[in-house]
Amino acid sequence: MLIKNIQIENYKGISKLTLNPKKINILVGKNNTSKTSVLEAIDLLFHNERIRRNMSSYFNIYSEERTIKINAQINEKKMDLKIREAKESEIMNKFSHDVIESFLQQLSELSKTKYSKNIAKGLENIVVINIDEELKKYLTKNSLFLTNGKEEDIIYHLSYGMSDEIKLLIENVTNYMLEKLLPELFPDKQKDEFSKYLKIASRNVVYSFSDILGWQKRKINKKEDVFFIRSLVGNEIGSHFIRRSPEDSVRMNKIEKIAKEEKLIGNLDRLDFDNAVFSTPHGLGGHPFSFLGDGFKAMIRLLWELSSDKINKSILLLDEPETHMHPGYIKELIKFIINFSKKLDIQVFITTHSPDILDILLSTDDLEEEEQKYLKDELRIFRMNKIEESISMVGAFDYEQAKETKKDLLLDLRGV
Amino acid sequence: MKKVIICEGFNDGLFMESLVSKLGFHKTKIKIFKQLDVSIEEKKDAETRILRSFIDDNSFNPYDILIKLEGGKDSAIKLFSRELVYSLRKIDNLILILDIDNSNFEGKKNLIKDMVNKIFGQTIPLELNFKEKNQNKHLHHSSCKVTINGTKQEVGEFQMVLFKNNLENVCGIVNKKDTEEDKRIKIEKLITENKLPDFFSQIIN
Repeated sequence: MLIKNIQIENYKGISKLTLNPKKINILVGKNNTSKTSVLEAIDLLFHNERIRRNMSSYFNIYSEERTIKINAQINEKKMDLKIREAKESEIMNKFSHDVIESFLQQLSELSKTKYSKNIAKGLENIVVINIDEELKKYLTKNSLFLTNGKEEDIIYHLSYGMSDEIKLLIENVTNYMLEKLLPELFPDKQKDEFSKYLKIASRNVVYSFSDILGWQKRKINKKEDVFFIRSLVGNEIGSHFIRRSPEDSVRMNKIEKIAKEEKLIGNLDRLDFDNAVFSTPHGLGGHPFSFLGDGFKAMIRLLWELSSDKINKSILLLDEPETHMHPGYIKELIKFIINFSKKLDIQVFITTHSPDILDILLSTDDLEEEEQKYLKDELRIFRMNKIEESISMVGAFDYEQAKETKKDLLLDLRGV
Repeated sequence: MKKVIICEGFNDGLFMESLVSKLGFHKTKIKIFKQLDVSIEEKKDAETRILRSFIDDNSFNPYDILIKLEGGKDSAIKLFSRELVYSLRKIDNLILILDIDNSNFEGKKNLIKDMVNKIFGQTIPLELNFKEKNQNKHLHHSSCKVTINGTKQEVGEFQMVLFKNNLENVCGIVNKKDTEEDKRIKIEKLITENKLPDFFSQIIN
């Protein structure tokens, strides 16, 4: 999978931006020039389910147009995502649908009965009529309309602060069902049993209304071939290692081999999820994995992602991977990225403030001839800047241009 | 009021030094930066460092005018295209001084457009609108507004001065024969005889 062209409009700090990336793309520039926003926008195009809250903060504050557009040419296919604020009627319909779907699902499981679409539709109208003004305002403010041109979806964030309003709403729906639907639906002898189920379902929806959010199945552009790593160290590595399976142990074994071959850490004898074992003059000695340096952990995390079965032909987004790394590790990091990109056909986007990363990428001493050859064809450096905080100015440099800029013009590629 | 003047070579530096001294900028501090003067240890990212410190408003930067002398073919234009487009907003007066050599005004104009297009064309195409302002026997002055293509969003404006021939021919400088003092005398003569301070007073203000 290769993004050949991507246009981003009105997303966070980006008013309008076009990039024609290659296989290895480096985004440089001062702080607040929207480097990370480019990574987020790419990720959003594939994983719009990541939008969870703070809906209004996704829009560019300098633009009057409240529509985010992300269009990309991926291989020979076009992929689009358009996001705008949802209209009140749209969010009311969607919310009432989700509440009733959640409610009836629970009721069906308890009563072993299926309910018709007509009943569901009727109940959705009851939700719309009974919805509290505060809840209506909250939902309108915290919802978005998404479309990819073919399919549409509405997503919203539901705060636990709204639980009283939800409780009242579900009570009203339950009362309506008890008073109006019960006599119509069931003969006398089943009434008591059904009303019991109704009360349980009602309570379940109120006390676990996160289930309603569970009904927000995102259906637009959902693909799993984009990996966004915001930080190579931190909690994320722990969560990977806790849920480990036998396949994960095989993966860790491969990483151990690479760590030893590349001498990422001296005298390493064995590496697993819990401990690293070293050869010492006094025999073998171990350290808990968590005691190891952040730079080493960052390299292991990267190798963990690169050794995933799903990484082939995917897109890897790395936000400032140099954090915590010694320049020696940065060199290894760059080499891994070049070689994995080449071997596994991975497209990489890296944001960085590190002059070391740029020096190594353009160096003839640090990289093998094969690696340099790959970069000559596949490296593009994007220098990002802003005009009046609202317009992104992006210069694009290929390998030779970047090299000339550094060597002959004595310019720091990261920008003035 | 920060000014950056980019010239092509050493002799242009002598020309600008002499010219600026006649423009009546009292108490104006001028920094002349020559690539050749940078030691090997300081060479890495030297241009950016000097520009960054000049552009930033801080007390460690006492200069008002930065004159940059570039060596090598078209490197003044390359530097402008790659770095200074970013800085247009922060520099009040940006001036490119070039020799026409074997080209003409159209040729130089197109060369700058091509260079800018190579860097920004794929991402955010820029439009360079040149406007001829003035000329005399030896010089041609034009201004150029840089806007984002298809919008009215202005990035900035710069001035371009072209030697119709080249400085050396106009002054009669013979590079390998003339000493620096000889060159200064010849340049001084050119500036005075052609009333160049009057010509430049509209450009460097």
